Amino acid sequence: MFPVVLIVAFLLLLVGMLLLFCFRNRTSQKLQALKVNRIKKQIAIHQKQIKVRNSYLNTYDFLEYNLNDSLFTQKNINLNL
Amino acid sequence: MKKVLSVVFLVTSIAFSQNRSEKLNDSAMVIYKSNPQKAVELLEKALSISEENETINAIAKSKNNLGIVKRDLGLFTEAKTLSQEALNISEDSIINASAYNNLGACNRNLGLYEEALTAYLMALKIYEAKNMSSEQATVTNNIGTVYSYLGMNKQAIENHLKAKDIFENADNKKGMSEVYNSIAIVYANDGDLNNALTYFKESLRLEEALNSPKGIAESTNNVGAVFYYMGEIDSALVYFNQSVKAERAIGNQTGIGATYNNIASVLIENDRLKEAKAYLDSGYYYTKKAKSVADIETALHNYSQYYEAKKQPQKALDYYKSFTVFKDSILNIATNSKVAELEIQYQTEKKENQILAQHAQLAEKELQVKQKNTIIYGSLGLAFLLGMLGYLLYNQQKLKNRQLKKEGELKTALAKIETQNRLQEQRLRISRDLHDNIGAQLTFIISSIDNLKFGLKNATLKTKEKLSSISEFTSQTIYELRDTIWAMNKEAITFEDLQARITNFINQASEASQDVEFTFYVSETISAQHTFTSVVGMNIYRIIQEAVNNALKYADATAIYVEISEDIDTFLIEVSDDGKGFNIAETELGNGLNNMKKRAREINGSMEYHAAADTGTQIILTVPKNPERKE
Repeated sequence: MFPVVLIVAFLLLLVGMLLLFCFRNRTSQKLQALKVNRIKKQIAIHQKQIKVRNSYLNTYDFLEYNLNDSLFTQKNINLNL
Repeated sequence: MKKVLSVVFLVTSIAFSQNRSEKLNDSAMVIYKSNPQKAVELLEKALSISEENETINAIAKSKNNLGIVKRDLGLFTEAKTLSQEALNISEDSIINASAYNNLGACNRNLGLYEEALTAYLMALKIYEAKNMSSEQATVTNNIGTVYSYLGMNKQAIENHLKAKDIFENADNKKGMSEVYNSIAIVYANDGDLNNALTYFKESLRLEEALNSPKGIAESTNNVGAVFYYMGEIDSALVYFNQSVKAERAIGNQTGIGATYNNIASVLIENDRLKEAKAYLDSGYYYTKKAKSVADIETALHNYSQYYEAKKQPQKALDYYKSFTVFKDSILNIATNSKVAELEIQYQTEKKENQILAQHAQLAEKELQVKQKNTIIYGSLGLAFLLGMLGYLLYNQQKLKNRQLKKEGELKTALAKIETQNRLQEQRLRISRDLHDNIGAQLTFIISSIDNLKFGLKNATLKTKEKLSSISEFTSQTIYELRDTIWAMNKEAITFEDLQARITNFINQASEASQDVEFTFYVSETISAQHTFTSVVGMNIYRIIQEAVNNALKYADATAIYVEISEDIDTFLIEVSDDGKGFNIAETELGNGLNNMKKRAREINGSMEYHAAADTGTQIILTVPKNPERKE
C-alpha cells in the first residue's frame, strides 16, 4: 500500500509542478509578445515618419523654391538721391 | 511546496509503521500454533509500534491476536481480558467479530457455556452482516460444539448442518469434510449409526474429491468401522481393503499392517479361517517390517486366536506364549522407544522452532530491507523532484531574462528612433525658419541693394562699389546659409555626393573665370559609397571652396589644381595654383586661411600650406577617414 501512495504522491507532485511551470511560462510569453508587438508598432510608426520626411527633404531644392522666388523687383523703392 | 513535502513525509512514515505492525501480526498468526512464545514476542512488538503511532485499530488487532495466542496457551482469563480490551477500543467490525469469537472460545473452555454462546452469536451477527461466509461457518460450527458439550445433540446437529450448508455454498471442501466428520461423531455417540455412516461416507467422498490420500485412508477406515459395528462384515471388509489400498498408495506400512490385522480379526471372529490366514500373515509381515511393536503384538494375538479356532491348542498356546513374552519384552522396549520417541519429538520440535525463528528473523530482515529500499527510493524521488523544481525555476528565470533583454533592446531602439525623429523634426523646423525667414530676408536685401544701385543714378563709383560689395557679401551669406541648411537636413553625405558638389562648384568657377585652367582629379581607389557626416562633408567642401576662391582672388593664377586621394586611414586633399604666391613670414594671415584651419581642426584634420613668392601656393588638407567629431 505504501509504495503505491508514495508513487502516486510523487507522480502528482511531478505532473503538478510541470503543469504549473508550463502555464506560467506560457502566460509570460503571451504578455511578452503583446509588449513586443506594441513597441514594434511604435518603432514602425517612427521609421515611417522619418522615411517620409527624408524623401521630401531629398527632393527639396533650395534655389528653386526660395532664391528665384524672392528675386523680384521692388517697385516701391523710390530714392531721391 | 514545503507544506506538500511535509504531508508526503507524514503519510510515508505512518504508512511505514502501519505496514510493519501488520506484517508482525500476520507473521505471528502464521507461527503461533507451532511457536507460541515467538508469536507472543512478535505481537507485543506490533502492539508497541501501534501504541507509539496511536493507531487505534492496529492496537486493537494486536491485543486480540495476543488474546488468541494466550487462549491457545491455556491462559483463558488473560486471553479474555485482552480480547475484551480490543473490543472496547476497536472501530473495526472485523476485529470486533474476531474478539467475540475468541471470548466465546475462552468462555467455553472455562465452562461458561451461556456466555460462550452469547459471544459466538455476536461474532456470527457481524460476520453475517459482512457476508463473510467462511468465518460464519466456523463460528456456527463452534456453536454446535458448545451445544454438544451441553449434551444438546439436536441443537449441535442443527448448527453443524448450518455450517455444512455455508461451506457447501462456498464450495469449501475441506471445511465440509471436517463438518461431516463432526456430525458423524455426534450421530455415532448418539447411537445413530446410519446417519453416522452417511456423513462418514460424505467425508470420504470429499476427501476423494480433494485427492487427499491420508484423508481417504482415514475416512475409509471410519466407514469400515461403522459397518463393522453395524454387523455388516462384508461391507466392512470392502472398506478395510480400500483403506489398505489407500495406505499402500501413500506407502504407510504401519497403516497397511494395522488394517490387515483388523481384517484378519474380523474374519476370525466370523469363522472365515481360510481367508483369515493370508491377512494374518500379511499383517504380521508388514508390522514386523514397520517395527510397529503394538501391531506385532496384535498379530501374535490374532495367530493365537486363529489356531484356537482351528482346534490346534498346542500352536495356539505357543503363539499365546510368544504373545505374552513379546508383550513383557516390549514393556521395556515400549518405555525405551517412548523415551527415544519423546527425545526425537523434542529435537524435532526444537529444530522446527529454530527454523520458525529463522523464518521470523528473515521476515523481519526482509521488512527492514524493504523499509530501507523505500527510504532510498523515496529520497531519490524527492531529490529528483527538487532537481526538477530547480531546473524549472532556472528555466523560468532564463526565459524572463531573455524576455527582459529583448524588451530592453526594443525599448532602446524605440527611444533612439524617437530621439532621431524628434531631432529631425527640430532640424526641419530650424531649417524651415532659416529658409523662410532669414533666407527670404537676405534675398530681399540683395534685391533691395540691386534696386538701390539701379536707382542711384548720381552715386559715386565708390558708393556703387560698396553697394556691390554688400550685395556680394549678402549673396555669400545666402550660400553659406543654404549649405548649413543642406548639412543640417542630411544625416550623412556620400563621397559621390560630395564629389558632385565639388565638380559643380569648379564648373561654375571655370565658367566665371575662363582664362584659368581648372583640373579636378579624384583617385580611383576611393569608394564612391564612403560616407561622411554632414558636418565633415560640409567643412571639406568649404575648405576647397575657400582655397579656390583665394587662388582666384589673390594669386592671379593661370591654372588651379584640385586633387583628392587617400592613404590607409586618411583622405588627402590638395589645392594648388601657379600664381604669384606670397611670403609666409612677411604676410599676415587673413580670415580666410584662419577659417580654413579652424574648419580642419573641427573635423579632426590638419591643414598645411606651402607658398613662396612667384612659385604658387599649395594647400594640403588631411582628413581622417572616420573622424570623431570634436566636442
